[in-house]
Amino acid sequence: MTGVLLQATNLRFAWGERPVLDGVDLEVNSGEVVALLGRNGAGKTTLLRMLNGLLVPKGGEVLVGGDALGAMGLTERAKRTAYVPQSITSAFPMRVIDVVLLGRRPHVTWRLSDHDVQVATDTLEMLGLNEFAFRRFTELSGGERQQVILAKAMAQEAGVLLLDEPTSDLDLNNQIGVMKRIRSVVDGDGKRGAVIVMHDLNIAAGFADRVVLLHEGKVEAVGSPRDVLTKANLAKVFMVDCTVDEAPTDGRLRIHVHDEVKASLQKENTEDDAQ
Amino acid sequence: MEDVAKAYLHGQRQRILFLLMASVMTACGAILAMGFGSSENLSMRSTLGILFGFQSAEGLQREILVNLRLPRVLIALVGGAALAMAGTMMQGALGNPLVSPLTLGVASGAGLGAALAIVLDVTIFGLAEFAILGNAFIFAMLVVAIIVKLGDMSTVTSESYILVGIAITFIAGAIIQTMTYFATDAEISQLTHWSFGSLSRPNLAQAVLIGMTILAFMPFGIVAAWDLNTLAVGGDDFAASTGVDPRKTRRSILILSATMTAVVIAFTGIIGFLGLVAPHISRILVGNDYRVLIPTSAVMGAAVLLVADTIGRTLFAPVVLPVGIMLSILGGPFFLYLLMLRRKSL
Repeated sequence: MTGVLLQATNLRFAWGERPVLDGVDLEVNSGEVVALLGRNGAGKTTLLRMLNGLLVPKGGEVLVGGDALGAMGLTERAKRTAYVPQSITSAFPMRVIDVVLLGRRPHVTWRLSDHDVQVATDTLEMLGLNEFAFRRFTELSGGERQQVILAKAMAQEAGVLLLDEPTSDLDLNNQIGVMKRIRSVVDGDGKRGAVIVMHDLNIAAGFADRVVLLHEGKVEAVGSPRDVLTKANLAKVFMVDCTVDEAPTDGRLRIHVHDEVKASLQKENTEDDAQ
Repeated sequence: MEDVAKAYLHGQRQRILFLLMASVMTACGAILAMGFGSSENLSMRSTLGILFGFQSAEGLQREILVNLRLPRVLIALVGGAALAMAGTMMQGALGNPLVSPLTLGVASGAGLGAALAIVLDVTIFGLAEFAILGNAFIFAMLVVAIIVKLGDMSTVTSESYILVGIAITFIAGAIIQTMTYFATDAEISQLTHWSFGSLSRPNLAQAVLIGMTILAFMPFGIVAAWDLNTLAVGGDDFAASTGVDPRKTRRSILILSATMTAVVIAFTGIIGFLGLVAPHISRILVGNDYRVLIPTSAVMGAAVLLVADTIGRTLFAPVVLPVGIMLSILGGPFFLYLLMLRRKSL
């Protein structure tokens, strides 16, 4: 960990009168993967979009590389942060290579250099997408499209990757493969970091350096997966009864979800914790 | 990796080569089109002889070539290029392959202007000679002004533009129908004829003026190719996270496209189908990368309008079929054929 890439302080946001985020702090260091967890509607995607400047916070500030995101032009933002939405629908059948090359948009005015083409093709190769290069984006499956958009974000060569459920449409093998590649990109030169919204607790435990647990628009817990993904935290945030232990083979954190927790039981637990 | 990069660069070179060949063929087609016509004084052979300097033009021949065929061919080239380019850009800016230059209501505005001049003698220019043309242009530009105003609103989306365009089309249509109800037969005939769209109206000076205006606008569209790529592929968030301002880009592209459309149809009348069919023919031929697609659309638009008009004025000569009708007769089935041939590309 060599420095802070992104720092969000006291972020607040509301859709009309309905508050979504209230006083959220978040930090991403170089070489770090941060998992953003929480229930549906907890504000994860809203937070991610604010970190990319797609939404303007009602309060608080986002600094990227020490500079205020709000004061940057769009091109500069795109050089520093790359965003992968949950899904995109496209009306025009562009080829995969052309979509990935769009990641070079912040770096070029009109003509692509050989270097730009090389970056795009290297990214395709790293993600194992070479065979898709000349296929039409609109003809790919949801999971394949997700990987292409990830490739486009990586070709952007931004310092911070902001990924919204990048593995949600992938099979088990591809989930692990994509997370490994994100990990290797972040570990690669030690100058990049990633914030990943996800729902799979075991993948978060396996690949993230830090976990931020969002609950009702606030940060419920932040820290290493072992510190944050505790039985009590998971019961409170996700309302599930689970066992957290270590895998006997490699000592990795394992989370087994058994059942949902009844609201009344959760209230009792919370009161017990308070006492 | 090397192979993918090589194949990509090879493909790009092939596309540019195709574009150059299509441009040369269209230019050759334009020269040949100058030779087609019903005049017995001007055969294809003598036209080519005059154009290439092998023989000199007699009085009537010069008159036909310079004042009739040249403006017609010129307006086919620049008008076709402008409408096709406008359609291509608007489809990308609105992320919708069904959009054409008529979607935003520019042609309806022009139609309303023309109808006011023909039926009610209401003219904004006050110049009787240019009443229809002037009105059509002013009312088409009023629609452009509405688009500008719409683009200033913070909540405007692609759908807003399309819906406002539909509303303008309905309102203008209703007013035109009301006027038609009270119009004389002669006025109805004149209005119907205007709405067919024809390349015979502009004179040489006007054709040159339109050409220079359109040529001045074109670079703005080509410069925006990258931004259109991002909007066309993934919409607003995708574009913004790639460094493109979606609202600004959409607004400026729509104003550019609508203005180019207004400039052409004020002089020619409504030529609608071209702005939909030429972009799709080009997409099938060179793909969807706007850097190549925009110039290819311009060339294809010019070629299609030139061919349609040349057939229209020679098929039943001396009767000249309006180019709008010819485009629908020829372009519709050809377009369907292409779609069936490459249906996966849409």
